Parts: sequence; C-alpha cells; structure tokens
Amino acid sequence: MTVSFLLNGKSVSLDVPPNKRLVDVLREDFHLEGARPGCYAGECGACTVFVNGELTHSCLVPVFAAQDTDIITYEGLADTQEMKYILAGFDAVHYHPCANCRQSRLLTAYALLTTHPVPERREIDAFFSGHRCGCSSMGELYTAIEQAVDMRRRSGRHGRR
Amino acid sequence: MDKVSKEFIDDLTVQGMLHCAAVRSRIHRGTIREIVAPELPPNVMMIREADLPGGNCISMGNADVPLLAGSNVEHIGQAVALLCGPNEPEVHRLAELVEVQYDRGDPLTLTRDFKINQKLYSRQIAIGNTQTAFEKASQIVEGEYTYRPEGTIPVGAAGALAVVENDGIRVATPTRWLFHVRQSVAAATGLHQDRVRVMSTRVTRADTNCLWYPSLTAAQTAVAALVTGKPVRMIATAREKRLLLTKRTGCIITHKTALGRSGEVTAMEIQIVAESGAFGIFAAEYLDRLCLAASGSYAAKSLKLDAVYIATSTPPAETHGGAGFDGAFFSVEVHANRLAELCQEDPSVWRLKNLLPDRGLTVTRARAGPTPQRKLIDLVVELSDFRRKYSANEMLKKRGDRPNFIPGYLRGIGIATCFHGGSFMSDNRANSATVTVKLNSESELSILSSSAMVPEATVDILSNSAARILNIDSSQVHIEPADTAAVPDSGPAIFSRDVTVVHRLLTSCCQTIQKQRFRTPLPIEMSRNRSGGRGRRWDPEIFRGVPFSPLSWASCVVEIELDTVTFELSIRGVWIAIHPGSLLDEKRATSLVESELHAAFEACGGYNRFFEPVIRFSQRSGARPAALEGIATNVFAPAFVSAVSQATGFYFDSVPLSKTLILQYLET
Ligand code: FES
Ligand code: FES
Repeated sequence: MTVSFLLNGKSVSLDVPPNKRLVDVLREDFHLEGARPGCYAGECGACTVFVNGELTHSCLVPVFAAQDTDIITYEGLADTQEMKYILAGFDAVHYHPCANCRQSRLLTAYALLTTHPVPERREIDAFFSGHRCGCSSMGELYTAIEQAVDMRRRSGRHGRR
Repeated sequence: MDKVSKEFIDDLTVQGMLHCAAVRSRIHRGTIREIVAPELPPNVMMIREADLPGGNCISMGNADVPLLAGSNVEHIGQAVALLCGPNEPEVHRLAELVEVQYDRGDPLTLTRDFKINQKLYSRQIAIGNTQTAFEKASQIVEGEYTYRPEGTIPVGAAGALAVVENDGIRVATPTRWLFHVRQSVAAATGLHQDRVRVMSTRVTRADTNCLWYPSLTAAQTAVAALVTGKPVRMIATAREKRLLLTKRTGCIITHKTALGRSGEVTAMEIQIVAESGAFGIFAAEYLDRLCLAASGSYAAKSLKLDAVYIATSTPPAETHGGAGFDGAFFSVEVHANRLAELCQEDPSVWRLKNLLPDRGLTVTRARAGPTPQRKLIDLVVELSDFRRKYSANEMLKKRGDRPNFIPGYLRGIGIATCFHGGSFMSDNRANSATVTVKLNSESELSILSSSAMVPEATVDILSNSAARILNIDSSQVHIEPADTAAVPDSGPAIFSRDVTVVHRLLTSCCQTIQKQRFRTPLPIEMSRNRSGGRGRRWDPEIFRGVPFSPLSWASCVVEIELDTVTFELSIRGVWIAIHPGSLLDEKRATSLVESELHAAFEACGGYNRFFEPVIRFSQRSGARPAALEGIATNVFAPAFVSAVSQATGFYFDSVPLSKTLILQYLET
C-alpha cells in the first residue's frame, strides 16, 4: 500500500505493508532514530512522536492510519530554539534519561512547554504519564523542566514557537 | 561490527545478514510429540535440537538452560526451534505457523503444596529449642506472606547478532555479563572460548536485568550463524519481551512467632517456598539470600527455618538488585508490623525494642559492622511524623466503623527496615572480577573492564574517581568498549557491583599507578582482581559470620490515602533513610533510589507512579561504598502493604496488592 503523509514538514510517500507500525517505518524506512521501539505496547513512551500536533505512541499506529497526517519527530524539532532551551535545561541539571528514552522525553518536554510555558508539577506529571522509566527520577525531571523554563525566561522568550 | 558498543542491538546490521525467530512453546509444560512446519521457502531454514553443532545447553548459576527444548518443554515461551531467513517479519510470521504437538503436563506453580519433582534446593537452620519456647509463649502469632511482584517490560532492545569468521565467531549483544556470553556461545557452538569474541552493544538501565537471556540468545544466534554459514541477528519482539523478560523471583513465607510477656520475640519458626522460574538459575544464591533476610533483624533465642527452592513452569527470573531479599523482607517486615499491632505498640517503637543488638545481623549470628538501623528508624520516624500519624489512624480504626461507611479518605502509614548486600553469597565465579588500567605518556588513562556500567552515569562516577586520584582531567579518562578480546572479565554488572567491586579495583589500580608514575616511565599498566571466594569469615552451612562486606541499610515509611468513593489509592508520602556506607555521587544515588521506589510501587500492583519521596543518606566517613541497587525495593513493599492494611483495617499479606483486591476486601 502506498501511504503519504507530512514528515517533519516534508511530504513523503512510500510503499509499505499497511500494518507496519509507524515507529518501525520511521526507523527503517526513513532512518529517523528519535522514536525508538521499547515495549510496542503503548507503555514506555520511547516511540513518542507528534501526529497532527498530538503526542502519540507511534508503536500503536499502523502506518495506514498515518495517511494524510502531519508527523513530527524529534529530528524535526531538534534545531528549534525551544528544544535548545530544553536540552540546555536537561544538561544544566545533569538530567540524563537513558539513551532509549532521551529523545522521546525531549519531545514530550517540548509539547509540555509549548502548551504550558510555566508548567505546574501536575501538568508535568500528566504529560509524562505516557513514559515509563526505570532509571531516572521525577524529581530530576521536574528540576530539568524548571531549569529549561528558567533559561527561556532569562532569554526573554515566552515559550511559544 | 566495529563500533558496536555505541549502537543498540536492533540498529546493528551486517550485509547479507539473516534474521532469526524462535518457535516458542505455547504451553507451560509438557512433552513434544512432533514439530510440524509449514512449507518453508527455500531461503528459510529451520534449526531443531538435532541440528545443534555443540551442546544443547548453557550453564548459569548452577543450572543448565537448554538452547532448544528437546523432548520436554519446561516453561511457556521456551524456544523449541529456530527459523532463519532474509526477511524479519516473514520469519516471525512463519515461526507462528509452526505447529508443535505436545502431551501436556500440569504446569508447575509456586505453592506450598509443591510436587516433589519441583524441589531444587533446600536449607534447614535450627538455633535453640523452638518447641519449648512456643510452649512457654504468652502469644503465638502466625502469618503467611506471598510475594509475586509484577515486573515491567524492559524498554531497551534485546537480542544478539552473530558473524562467523575464519578463525571463530563474533557475537554482539547488550549484556551485563560479557564473559558469560562468551562461555555460553563456546558451549553451544563447540568452539574453544578463545575463538569466540563477544562485544557488548549499548546497555542502558532500560535494558533487561536478566542475565540468562543475552547469554541464551547469543548462543542460539551463534548456532544459527554456524549452521546457516551467514551472519544472523535475533531481536526479541514485544511479545517475547513481555513473556520472557518480566519475571521476578517469588516466594511464600510463613512466620510463626512466639512472644513473651512484654511483647518480646522469643522464638521464630519460618517456612519458605521460593521460586525463580524454570531451571532454577541462581536458585541456591536466592535461597541463601532469602534465608539470611528471613532470619534477620529481630532478636529471638530460638529459630527454626525450613526453606525450599522449587522450579516452576515460568521463564527464568531476572536478576534484579533485591532478588531474594525483597520477598524475605516483605514477609519479615509486614509480620513485624502485625506483631507490633497485636502488642498494641507503635511499630517503630516495637522495632527499636526488638532489633538485634548492635553488630548482630541475624538470629543465626551472622554479623555486621556497627548497625545503623536504629538511627535510620529514628530518622524516618522523625521525617514523616510517623508516631503521631500512626496513632491517629489507629484511633480511627478502633472506632469500629467499617471503612466503606467512612466518607472521604482512609489513611494508613507503614514502616519497614532492612539490610542489603551487594555481591553473590554462594556463586564464586560470579563474584570474581578483574580490572586493568593503563596510563600512557600523554597522561591519558584507559580503563579496561567488561562491566556493562549501567546506569550510564556509572561511567562518569568511575572516570571522575580515577581522574581525581591521578590528578588528571576526567576528559583524559577513557573507558574501553566491552569486548572480550580487549578487556578482562569483571563479572556481572548487577547487585551494584560496578560501585562495590569494579570501582574498588579501579581505585586500587589508580592509587598504585599514582605512587609509581613519577618513578617509573610511562606507560604503566596495572591490574587488580578479586577472587570469587567470599572470604573465610562466612559459614554457609550454619549462616554464621560475615555474609557481606560492606552492608547497606534502609528504613522506609510509606503513607497512603484511599478514596472511599473511587477507591483510588494514592501515595501521600514516602520517606526513606539509607546508610550506604559512603556515597560516590549523592545526586545519582538519589535518582537511583527514587526511580526504584517508583518501580517498586508499580511492582506492588501497577499503580500510577508519581510521588516525590524524601530521601536521606546517612554516611559514615571512611566507609566503603555499599550496594544501593535493590535496597529501596526491599523496604517499599512491606511499608506500603502495612499502610494499606492500616487504612482499610484488613491485614493484607501479599504483593501484588491490586485495587481490585482491596475493593474485594472492602466490600466484604
Ligand atoms: S514502544 Fe511505544 S510506548 Fe513503548
Ligand atoms: S529514561 Fe529510559 S527507562 Fe528511564
């Protein structure tokens, strides 16, 4: 089946088995490594991407369902100023999610901060409830997000793209 | 295959590589009558037990694990045959179509009425005369505690890639025990170990804690590469990860305790039935850990302990930090809370009265250094305001209202304490380790160790320590990739061994180099090793002496709230005080403990994980760093379950403790 969608702002189409998972398509057919398959069950969040502006577990999306959608992966946002603040915030407080989850967490932080410029902890909890993690702590995540907010504030930006 | 250490196994490819999928047993136990394959395309090959070039087993933790089920299936998900072909989805699809015909056997389960053929190991310990003590007791309290925590699917990819070369075979896999993979591949292929080269791909905390899985998969993949003559990669599917990599050790422990007139423990009878899935990998090790913890903490004049380790028809368990200790401390600590309640005492006060004297670890006279348990209990009690909250909740409970008639919230608070050891008690091979370091003329230091260094922060901890000793910048320290051709065997990276063993050997190497470097021309190479013998101070037969050195300790308080309308259970607070000997990096230790507490909450029944624990470390200057991995798991579950018991007024005695179970009790 031929499936077409917008991927990081470019329109793409490919011939692919319709039930192939979006996360596998992104990795194998487009060589985008930001979304990683972890549990393939919508539990770990490692495969998170934006589909039509919504954070989505791409392991749960068969590629046929992605027809005509707008998909943004970590790679599509890596160079935005917002992502740079987030990265700087993570680095400043030495918040190191594991390599499997790092980019999906950055993406979720991006979604959080572009909708909630100064998020409360319960909002952080809500956004990250789709990520399961055995290695880093919520405390660290809160500090990393707060740090990113602070860095952006000091630069005079207000958190919108 | 040259930069494998930075790659994830599922990103690693080799030209002309075949994909391998296992045909897995759909039954728990039985005898295979026939394997009927669909018509296979010419480029797909099926490998059965008869096709194996070497032995059909790898050995781990005193157990033999077959590569492929021969005539008997021992657990659900066990590999029965392997299919290799050029197209990954296709081989998985074909593997599903292979029909295995069985004569079904009854699954072996964790139960006190286990079958005699399940029994793998047993241990009996007797101190004093329990019979007389029970005859004279003022009160006898009995309880049965079941611990079967729920593991979660690891996020990281699992699998292996094998390439046959002229002089042997090369294998890549994310593993916490590099040299065990080499040994397993050699056994499976019939090649000498020198002709097997194993490299670890990127390992993160999100990868499986199972030691057996990478070794077994690597052996299967290597065999497939040898038989097909092509590179072969085998990656676990999500279903395989869920089925094979989420198993935790479980146990049922009964405690019968004799109490004297003032509530002091006079005698204990403990019966343990424990399991870690099929084959009994590390069964003796887990059993010793269970016995040690079960006979620990509280003073009694006599003890009778009967422990049995059994095989069950589930996949082998992961080797997580608390393995063995967690189940035992769950039973001991929930039981202690119950004893305190029956004695009408605050459980923190009861503990302080009944703990073994300083330096005592167990009733069997296992010993420790100065024991900080009292101090840790005082600290968490103070931080959490435990006594006031506990007595308020008790008063509410005593009003006699059935919980479901109280509108709003029910609250409960629980406490637990434990000790923890960070090495193997009985497996000498797993305990030994070697680390080599090289300082070159540019003052650049290379650390050679096979350790997987998980979490990734361990790399910084080791680099910073080495840099500090040698007075160089940490950017001048390089950790060489884990490759059996280049690094020495540092043993398995579990039970905090990176910190307790590898770090110690590394610092010893660096200190010696520092003494020599201005007298001896560079480069200097230095190795240190630790032999597997546990030291002659521990008697494993009577459980006397020093089982671990150093030990770590923890006390934890958990406060919960149960919404009586929605039955939503939430954590109001978690306070944990830990004595880790000394800390190498407090921030990272805090993060490890916090993530373990969240994982422990999830293992207790799949709850929402967000809470912010209060974590305090009490260090002793000059002490060596002790194990942290697993310690929070040991104390969280008993404190949590006791808190739920106080809130609801029902004695809960099992993990998992699901919302449905709580609801069932509340409705009775
Ligand atoms: S792989 Fe998609 S949520 Fe885990
Ligand atoms: S950040 Fe990946 S499992 Fe924790």
